Parts: sequence; C-alpha cells; structure tokens
Amino acid sequence: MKNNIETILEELYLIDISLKERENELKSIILKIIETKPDIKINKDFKEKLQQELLSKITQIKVNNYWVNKKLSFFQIFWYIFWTVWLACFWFIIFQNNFKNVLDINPIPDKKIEKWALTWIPQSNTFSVAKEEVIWNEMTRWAPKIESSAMMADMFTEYIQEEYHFTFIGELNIELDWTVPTFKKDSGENIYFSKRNLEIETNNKNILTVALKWWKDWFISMPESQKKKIIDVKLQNPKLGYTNVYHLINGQNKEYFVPCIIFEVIKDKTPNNFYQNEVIVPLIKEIYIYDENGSIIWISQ
Amino acid sequence: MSDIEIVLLCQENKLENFWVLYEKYVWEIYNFIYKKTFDTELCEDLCSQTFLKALDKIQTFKVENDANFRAWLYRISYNLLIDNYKWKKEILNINEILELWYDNDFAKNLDNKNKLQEVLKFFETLKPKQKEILMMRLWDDLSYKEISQITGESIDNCKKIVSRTLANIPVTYMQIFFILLLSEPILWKII
Repeated sequence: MKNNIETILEELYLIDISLKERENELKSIILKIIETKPDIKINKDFKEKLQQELLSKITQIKVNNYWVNKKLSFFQIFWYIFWTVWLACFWFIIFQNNFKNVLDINPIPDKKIEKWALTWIPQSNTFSVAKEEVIWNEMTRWAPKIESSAMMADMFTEYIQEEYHFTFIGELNIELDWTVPTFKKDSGENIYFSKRNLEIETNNKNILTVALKWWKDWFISMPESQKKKIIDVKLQNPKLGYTNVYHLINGQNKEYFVPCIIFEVIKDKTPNNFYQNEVIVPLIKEIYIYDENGSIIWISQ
Repeated sequence: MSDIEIVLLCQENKLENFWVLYEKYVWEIYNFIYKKTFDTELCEDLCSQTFLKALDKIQTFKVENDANFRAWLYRISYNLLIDNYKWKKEILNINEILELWYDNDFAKNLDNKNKLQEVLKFFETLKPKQKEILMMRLWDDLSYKEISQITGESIDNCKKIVSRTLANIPVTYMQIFFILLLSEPILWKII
C-alpha cells in the first residue's frame, strides 16, 4: 500500500509540483481513501451461474465458428480436394510401381489350356524354354571338344566372356494352391496331348533362382576368360503362362506342355545385344532341382 | 501467460482459455459495477452482460502494442453502466454502505467507521466525474492510461482532475467545518 501511495504522489507531483509542499495532508487523505476501499464479496451462486452461461456460449460460438469456417473457406475446401487428389495419384503411382509385379493367378480352365496346347504350341518354335533347351544341349556337346584342344583353349581365353547379372524388380508372390494340369505329347507326327499332373514348383525363392541363374548352365563347360563383360538384365512383370518343354531322359526326348512364369525383360535398361524379350521358368519339378548353393541342376540324363 | 496471449488463443477459436480471464477479472468487474449501482441484482446482471459481451466481441479486440484487455473489459462494463440509467444517484448513508460494502469486522471498528465517514463526506463534495476518476485511480487501481481508455477522457485531463481534486481537499474540509460550525448553535456557544 505504501508503494501505491508513493506512486500516486509521484504522479501528482509530476502534474503539479506545488503539491509537494502539502505532502502530509495529501498522504493522509489518500491513505484514508485507500483504507476504506470497499471489500465487496461476490456471490458464489452468481459466479457459478455465470460460468455455466459462458460455457454454453463458448460451446455455441465454437460450433458456429466451425460451420462458418466450413461454409466460407471455399478456397480451403478446394485446397483439400487438390491435395487429396494429388496424394491419391501419388500413391497410385507408387502402388503401380511396387505391386504391379505381384502375380494375381487365377485357375485357368483345363479346356482352355488343352485348346492352347493343340493350337498354339506347334507354331511356337521361337518362343519358350524349348529353344533354350536346344541351345543348351548343343553347347554341352561342344564343350568336351573345346577342352581337349589346347590351342582352342588358348584361343578361347582371349574371347570376352559375358556374365549376366539378372535382377528382378518387384516382388514375386505366387500362390499356386490349385492343381495345375500339364500335358504330355504322346506320339510324334500327330500332335496329341494327354493330361498328366506333375509336381509343380510353388516356392517363390526357387522360381526366382531359376529366373536369375538359368544362364550359368550355358557356360558350364566353357573355359574361363580373362576378359569379362558384365551385362545387367532387369526383369519385371511376371505372368503365368504355359510353355512346351523338351526333356531328355535316358536318351528319350519327352515333350511337355507345362505351366510357367514368364518374366519380361526391361529392354530400355538392358544392353541391345541381349536378344531375349522374356525369361521363362517352367514350373515343374521333374526337369530341374537345386543344389545347396541355389544353383540349378538340370535333370536331363 | 499474459492477457494478450490468452486473447490471441481465444481469437484462434480456443475459447476455453477465456476461463482464465474470467477468473482473473470477475471480482474486479463485479466490484467496479457494484460501487456505482449499490444493487446486487443489477450488478450481477451488468457483470454477466459484460463477460458475455466480451466473449462475443473478443474477435474484434485489436491486439496492438498498447492493447490492454483489462481496460477493454472495464470499458464494456462502463458503457453498460451508462446505457443502463438505473444508477442510484443518491449517496447512501453510512450505515447502509457499511452493511452493503463491508464485512462485520470492518463495520465494528470505530476508527474505520470514522475514516469512512470522512471519505464519504469528501466524496459528497465532488462532482460525479471527479469522484468517478478518483475512485478508479485509488480504489480500482487503474492507471491514468486505463482510465482514459475506459472513460474516453484524455490522459492529461484525467491527471488534472485527480490532482485538482486532491489539491482542494484541505480547503474543502475547512469549508465543511465552517458550515457545520455555523449550523450548530451549541458549537457557537462553546466558541
């Protein structure tokens, strides 16, 4: 209170310095006025009632403001829609890139497959594992001859050995929980397929191993060269299909029409000298197995 | 958190923060109105109106460098008081004031009673504007700037009113004394 009086007096002296001469009189009356300041008690019921009134008013204003903002902020609504659409497009693109390689396999009716087998396979000389099979067999026949000749071996050390680095972009998630029929060709001249159930490879890891390492068997007997050229091949977009496979067992060539996974080669990310458009992995266990290192062993003898 | 910070929150539709301002100023505003009305019912009505209006208009409160929420709140109640012409013009007698304004402890003290009587008599001699501004400065502890914002008078004018009012006190007392002296024959005899 003393400070308060002092402040009031100082303010008064600033207005009229002559008042300082009557400081005691002023102090006395100011003190009396301050001491008799009324101490009015507020009614608690009234305070609570007013609180309730204010609370309902606050609720009402908040609700009103919410709707007013909703109504008036057209630009905001436009902005929300714009971002929502943009985000939807963004996630759609991401989804496309990440999940388009996930295979959605639906059972193919047997009759449809049989029709394919009878109409499409005879003309498919350049498409399927069959061609690769033939090339592979030719190369293995040539390999012993190359190894027996020292001159040829020296000559071959000079050639540029190509190494393929296959990479699969995406995620392989094949669930073959249905019985996949395969067809076997019975006689030579008349193309005729009989239905036969073979054991199907369903392990995604094994399928990918074949897709990425199949090429190694081509060079199994070739001499190692000092010069190597690495060719990166990118695979994507696996699809379910059927292909014919020639399988040599005990000197007899057996032909099957079997389910397969066809991996598309990304051409714009692959050197031009890689001629293939697809890499085909037949899904039957009878023609290949895997060793402990994940390498493929073809069962052809 | 300062008043202005709370007001800014309220302006962002976080009106629940208004409670802080309500708790801080409800007694002050109630007191301010009561001293001018001497009527509990009217005081409560005007006090309610003050806070409801403040809540309603808080978006219009301009947050500037010298913005003062307290003065703004007083201004609302002051305007409501002016609008409501039920002010009691007559000054109540001391017993009524003691009953209405103070608790029992204060009222029982004779010294307090004498002081109050002296102050009320002094107030009787003042013009309404003088009394109003003096009460705001000494009882409501409002600064000259705040008083100026509430009443609409300039700061200098408010200062002059307070200084002149207080400067005239001794003279006024002497006048009262002589009036009393002249009006009491017994005192004449004593002299």
